[in-house]
Amino acid sequence: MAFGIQVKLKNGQDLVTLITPMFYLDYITSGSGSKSYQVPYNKLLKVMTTVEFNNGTPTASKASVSGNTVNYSDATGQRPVIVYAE
Amino acid sequence: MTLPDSALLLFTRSNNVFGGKIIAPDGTVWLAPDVTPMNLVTRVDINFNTLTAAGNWVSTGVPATLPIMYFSRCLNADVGVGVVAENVNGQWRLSVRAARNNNGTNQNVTFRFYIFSNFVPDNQTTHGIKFFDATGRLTWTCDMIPLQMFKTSIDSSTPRVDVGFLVATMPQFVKHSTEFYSPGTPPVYIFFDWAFKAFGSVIEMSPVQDYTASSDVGTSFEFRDCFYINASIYDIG
Repeated sequence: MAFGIQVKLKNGQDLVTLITPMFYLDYITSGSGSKSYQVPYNKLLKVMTTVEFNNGTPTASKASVSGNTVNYSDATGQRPVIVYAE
Repeated sequence: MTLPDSALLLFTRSNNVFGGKIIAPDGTVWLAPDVTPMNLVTRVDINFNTLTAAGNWVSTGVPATLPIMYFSRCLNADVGVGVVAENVNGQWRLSVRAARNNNGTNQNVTFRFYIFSNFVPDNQTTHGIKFFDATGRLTWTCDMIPLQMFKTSIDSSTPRVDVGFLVATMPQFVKHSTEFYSPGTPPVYIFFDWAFKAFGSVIEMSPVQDYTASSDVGTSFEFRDCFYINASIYDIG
């Protein structure tokens, strides 16, 4: 190490070189619409949709990314859309 | 400027707010107060039998007002589990709805759950680096392991992927299918409900419960976005 800092796991591995954290931006739990985000430099805006399951019927939230904007629909507390950058 | 071969802590002043960024060796921001991570909040092992899996649950300690992301892998068998997150008394609980091995027989299994949220559960850290967001809320300390998440597409035509490292995946229900139908009075249907499972380095879309009914149940559906983590990193922490 020339200079700087280190963040290490308990076994001594350098966590900074081991992983690239996702940056959490939003947790959408209702409705449909679009939202824009300030995306950190050199990162991409991404979405994670999830599935609610009741009586044999899975229902997923829906989301897509266009530039710095997320368009989403069918989000609820049981099937949220998670917005992140990495 | 020469970049270091390890991380750099950079202090800056912007909009009258002081902060520090950890810069990765490639020059990108690794963490900063204005880009909060999801942290490994807890890791829980739970043991049960597959045929009596429903009703087991994992307490997360994550307030239901905060986001939660969870991943699991089976430690001792190639078995899948279907889980839903529920708000119980203001905290997220992971409720096991079903588990199944490849034969549909009873088997004792142990699952490890990795639970992430965007907060620091126990502010026990007395030294090192801490990050606070603009509201003053503690979002990361140097003893928290941030989430790095991967995504792949898994479907019925490619139900099994070897990712090459110890893997845990989000065990949500992702598919409902009718596997058998016999017309008659009454008719006979056999349904499968599916989830993504992780065992070793393999992720698979796998049935976690099967059941027979005399009428059509549910809606055929398949969700292909599979999110997963490198579990070996979070086993160390």
